[in-house]
Amino acid sequence: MALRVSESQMFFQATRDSNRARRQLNEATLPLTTQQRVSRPSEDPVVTGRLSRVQRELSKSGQYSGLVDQVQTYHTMVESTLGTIGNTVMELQDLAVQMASDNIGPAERTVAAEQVAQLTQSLKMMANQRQGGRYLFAGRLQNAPPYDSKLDYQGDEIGRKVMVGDNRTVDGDVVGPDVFGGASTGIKSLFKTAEDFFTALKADDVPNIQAALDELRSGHERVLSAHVRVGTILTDLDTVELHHSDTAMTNEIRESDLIGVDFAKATHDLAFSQSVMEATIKTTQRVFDAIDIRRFNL
Amino acid sequence: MSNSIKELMAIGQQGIAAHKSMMNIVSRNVANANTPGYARQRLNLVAVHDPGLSITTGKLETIRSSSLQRSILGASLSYGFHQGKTEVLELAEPALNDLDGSGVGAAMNGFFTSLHTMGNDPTGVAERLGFMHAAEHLGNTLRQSAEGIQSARLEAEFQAKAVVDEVNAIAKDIAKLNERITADAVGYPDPSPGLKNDRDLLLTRLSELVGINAIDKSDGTVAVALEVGGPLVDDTYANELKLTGGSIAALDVTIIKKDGGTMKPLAKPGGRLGGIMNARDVVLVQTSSQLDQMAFGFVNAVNSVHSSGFGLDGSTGNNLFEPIPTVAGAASNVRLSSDVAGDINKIAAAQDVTMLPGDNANILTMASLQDDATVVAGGKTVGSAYDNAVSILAVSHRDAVNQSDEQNRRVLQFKEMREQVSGVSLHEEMISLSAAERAFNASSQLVQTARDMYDTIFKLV
Repeated sequence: MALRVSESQMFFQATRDSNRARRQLNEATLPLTTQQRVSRPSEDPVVTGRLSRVQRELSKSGQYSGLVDQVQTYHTMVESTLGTIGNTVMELQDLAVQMASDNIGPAERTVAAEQVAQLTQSLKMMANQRQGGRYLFAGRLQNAPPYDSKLDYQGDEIGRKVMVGDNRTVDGDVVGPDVFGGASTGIKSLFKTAEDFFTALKADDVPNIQAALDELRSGHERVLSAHVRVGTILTDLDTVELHHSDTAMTNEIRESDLIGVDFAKATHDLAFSQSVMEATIKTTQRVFDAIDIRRFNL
Repeated sequence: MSNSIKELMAIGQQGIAAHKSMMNIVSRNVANANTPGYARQRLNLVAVHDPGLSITTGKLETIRSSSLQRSILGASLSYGFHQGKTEVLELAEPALNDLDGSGVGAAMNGFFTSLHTMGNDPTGVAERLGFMHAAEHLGNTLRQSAEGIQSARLEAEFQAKAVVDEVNAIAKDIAKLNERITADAVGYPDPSPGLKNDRDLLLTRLSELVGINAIDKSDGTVAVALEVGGPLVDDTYANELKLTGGSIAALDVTIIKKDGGTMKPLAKPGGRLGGIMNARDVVLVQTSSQLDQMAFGFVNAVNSVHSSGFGLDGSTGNNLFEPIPTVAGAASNVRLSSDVAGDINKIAAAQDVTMLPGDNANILTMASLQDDATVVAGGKTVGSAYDNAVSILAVSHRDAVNQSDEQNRRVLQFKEMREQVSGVSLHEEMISLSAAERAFNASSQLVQTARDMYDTIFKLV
């Protein structure tokens, strides 16, 4: 049968072509208005699934980065305080060295005792220091200062762990006994050493001044050890932070690749769709003009 | 001689009558050029060689292709199925769309973020309040998602009822058309082409709605049955479809017959009704089930850890979320527990009561649930379980859209082919009209010539 074209066939085609052009135009507009390549899961289920996983990783990176910042802030404050504590213990040590000399008399030792008392008071203040509402050296027991009026330790001897990465925790606390001794360490605390030093100076007791000097040296080493441990933690945290930063950047790039709009392509697609729409309209008009039955004259 | 003149006049009159009929048919075709489903007609002229006779009108043909009509019915069935499915899944998709930055995925991330934040300072009021709000928000979002899916199922039920009502109305119309066609058929070989055109349109719509087989009978009527079995229209009687089930139960159809008896089709129907039922009772049920499994596993795991820990006030045994006894409907029941609601001190951050208020060990244990693949049945983490639920819906929706587009193209292609055969071409009709007009004029001239000959003879007499 010869190919024939009926009126309704022509209208079908015209309607279909017009609808197709309009749909393409609408689809080309969406990425530019939503600034997303995909705005519904059904548009690309694979991309949606991948994006979900990437966004979870980004959220975790953000969580951990925030915690790393907070722990870094804490340990930085502790590091600074340990430096001051170390200097204070050094001063006590120097005093002990001087006062242990046979050339020093009782009057000088009495004056030195007052200095020791002031330095001890400084140590006590630093031991009970607070930062951001937390006692620096109390561990988990934050409802009271770690050292009471008798300079006995009331805090926690283990401290918190803080999760800074997947299956990765760091010490969230430096507890008092790790710095000042005493409590369950079995070692005389620095405060007790300083008290004994004060008493020996007042009593002009050189042997006990010598004993205090030895204890102060041990105490200073303990402070230094704590200082080194905090430094190590801070270095580790820098590495962890760098890792999170790299991971976050990688995931941000992946997120952008998955859902970001290539504006050059999107603009081109829009221009192309507009041209197709215009061509469809003009073609339809011309076709219907050409077959206008009013031109028929037999 | 007068017989010859009389013969001449008769021949001319027959020619006038025949070509006038032809022009009527052409006019009807032209008037119906844009009538949906109209099949053009063609009047055959037959030469007659008996004395005094010349031409008569033969069979009035309606140019219609039964095979194309069957192809349209088949393609409409598939299109209707996928279109029905698309429409229902489109309603449900916003419930699980996180691409706008909100949704269960984002709420879950927020929950774990606030948990970690509280882990660094378990005594902080802002941290505890933030965590409680995040837990509440997660519960709200999960319930909204579950309710979104249930709303889509409910709307699908309304759509299914509307489809069944339309099917029953169309079946009755087809039965009435059968009756009229039977009445018109008395004494006429191809009666009521207009009625058959109307019936074809109804059959196409019916197939799109529910999937049918249509059998043309020798008396011009059509018998209609569901493609999955069960008579719908038999002669001049229409059976009724009835929708059963609903609410949380699956939908099904029953045929109520003329004698009041019922009959169940062999399978779920096709067409739009089938697509709606498939989306509602298969896809959305699977999606909902996955969401429920995720919610159930998550709430149980969190509660298990939380209740073993200690609040700031030393209390223990408190759930963070209200316990959910069964998987079914779990997502609709995720709520902050009354154990902790309104009292942030009851949030159990500690595992060692002697280490209050700063102990955060319970928080670390809860946080580790985020990557724990034993939380949700089937070895999934909460994140992957949620992704699964989204995937089930998204993949089904996409497939339905693609299939709907593809089947729609097929339907349009077959309709175009039918229009190619049965549609009216105005150019063709104009040519036919011109030819008929010329022949009409020529026949009129014959009659006039015969009359002139009579006049001449009468003058001679």
